[in-house]
Amino acid sequence: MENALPSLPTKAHSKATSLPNVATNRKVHKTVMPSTVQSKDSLEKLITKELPMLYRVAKRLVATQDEAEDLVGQTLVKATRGWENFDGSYPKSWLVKILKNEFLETLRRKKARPLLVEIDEAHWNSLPDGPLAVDHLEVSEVLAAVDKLPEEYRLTLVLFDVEQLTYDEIALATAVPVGTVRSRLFRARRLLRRALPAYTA
Amino acid sequence: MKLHKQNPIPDIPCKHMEGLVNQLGDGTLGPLKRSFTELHVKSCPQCSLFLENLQKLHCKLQSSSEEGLSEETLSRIRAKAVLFEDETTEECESE
Repeated sequence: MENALPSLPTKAHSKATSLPNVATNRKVHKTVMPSTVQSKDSLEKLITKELPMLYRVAKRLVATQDEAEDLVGQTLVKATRGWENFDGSYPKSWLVKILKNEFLETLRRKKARPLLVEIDEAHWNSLPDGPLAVDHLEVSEVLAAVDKLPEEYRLTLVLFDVEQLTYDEIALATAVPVGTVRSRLFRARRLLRRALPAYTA
Repeated sequence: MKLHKQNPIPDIPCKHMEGLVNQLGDGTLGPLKRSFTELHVKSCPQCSLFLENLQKLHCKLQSSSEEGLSEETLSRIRAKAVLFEDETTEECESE
């Protein structure tokens, strides 16, 4: 059975959330151009389709299942309010951007700070203890290593490798240039490689 | 001519090729860079193993997206969305 749609609040709100037009000057391949959505009915369809994705991303950003549910709930409220101002392009990026902003807002309210991207040069350039045997790794072990990455790297890696967003979509969702997405992925993978257990047999 | 420096760990790529091999795995290289990188990977066992591991990791991570959302979780998220909406509406009205 298809999941029932959360009963979303319908009232339009002045504090709408919309994406800045980051990709205006970027070349976008036709093959990666996402479908657009325009009608109000499509908000329900979009959320029904993307709710599992939002929840998976939220789980990688926060520590507990309860916090992930809170984060997605807040995202749905903001998405509903921002729907009127949303131009219908890059819907996944739009939702992830709201989720990310809500995550940062939650940290701000708690007066906590996201894990800063300060990488120890020695660790960054160090070699792992041994070769990696990916076949021996469980998915849960890989995800546990992903959770150790700094937030910006973790989010970029999850959006690309787990959720299959394109570089362009991630750039929009995280409000950074495509080149930054590329370098974050590169660094995320290098750090992930060092966070994974080496094969010592 | 020796094009790559051997590393003691067999799946650590050549330093100057790591970025390109990452992008080769992502499928985001243009034709020229792709040909160059593919040629290198074919002749370099370490970059080849690195790419293979990268693709296996990608598959493992991608498989975690098959996890669905239970009715129970969906119901809790729905309840929380309504609760947050009510809270913020009250805050706006009291201002």
